[in-house]
Amino acid sequence: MTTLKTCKPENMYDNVHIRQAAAFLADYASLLSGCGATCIRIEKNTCRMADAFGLGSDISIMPTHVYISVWGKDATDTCVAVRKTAGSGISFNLNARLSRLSWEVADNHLDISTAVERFERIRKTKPTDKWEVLILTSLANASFCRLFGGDATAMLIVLASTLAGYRLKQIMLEDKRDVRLTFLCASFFSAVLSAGGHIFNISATPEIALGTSVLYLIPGVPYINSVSDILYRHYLCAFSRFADAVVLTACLSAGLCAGMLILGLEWF
Amino acid sequence: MNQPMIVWCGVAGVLLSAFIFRAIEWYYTKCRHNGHKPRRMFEIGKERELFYIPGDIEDDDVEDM
Repeated sequence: MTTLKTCKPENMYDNVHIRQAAAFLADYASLLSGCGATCIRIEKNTCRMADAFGLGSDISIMPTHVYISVWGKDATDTCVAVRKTAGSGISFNLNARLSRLSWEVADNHLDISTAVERFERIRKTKPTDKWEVLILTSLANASFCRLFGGDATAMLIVLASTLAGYRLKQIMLEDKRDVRLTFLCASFFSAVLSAGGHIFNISATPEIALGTSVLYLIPGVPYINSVSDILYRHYLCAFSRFADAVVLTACLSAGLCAGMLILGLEWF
Repeated sequence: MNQPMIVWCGVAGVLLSAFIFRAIEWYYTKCRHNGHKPRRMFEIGKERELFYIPGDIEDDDVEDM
């Protein structure tokens, strides 16, 4: 004898509600993961919003995907949504706005459609202008040079080499070149240009200019996130981020060494 | 000029010429073609794009084989 399960309208509404919530939360977690948030932040923000919707949730964060399961009052009605991590690039602006959205949903008890509308608005946020990023990165790297004891000429050299190297990085990434090759080329050219202080004897601290010229390429966010993920026992993501960061660091080191080698500079 | 100076100037020249080519490419794309598909001055392509003889196997045909 077979038993047919009949869906009451109330249950149907619940199912739609759960599916919508699962899809929204998966998109949200995917974008948050893509813009450089730590696993604990992704977990807290999505669970906070699921609680505000009156739903139970559980999230699993993998290096390239996020899985979220959402259920209503009756835990048998569960919906699982999987999304690939968004390739938005690290953005603190996006990160902060997405976190703010989770608090707005929790504090103001926004419904799902309003939350989705605000999320779509955030998703369409334009990234910071590339020229602005280029100039600010160069100034920041020149300031690093000063922090490490470089003189004004060394700062100028670092400013120029970072401008050139970072612009090259932007061009190669726009052309969809491999990110490791991009890091290698950018560090090579930055190192060679900054070695001008040594070669033309135009600075009292040329070694500081050379050392700090590639600092803008250090993948700091993945390193910090991997430590945070280890602390909160997200070992897979931690290892993945750490491995990515180590590979990029190795590439930039290879570029720096190649630059010094080609110019015949002493290593120690 | 000693050797490191020559190497430095060569590397700086390569980078500078890359930026200049990029700027020219951007000019061609922006001003001549109104932002449509960029026309590249240099591009790595397949020989098939230049020489095609009827009967050559195309990439799309491989799936059917």
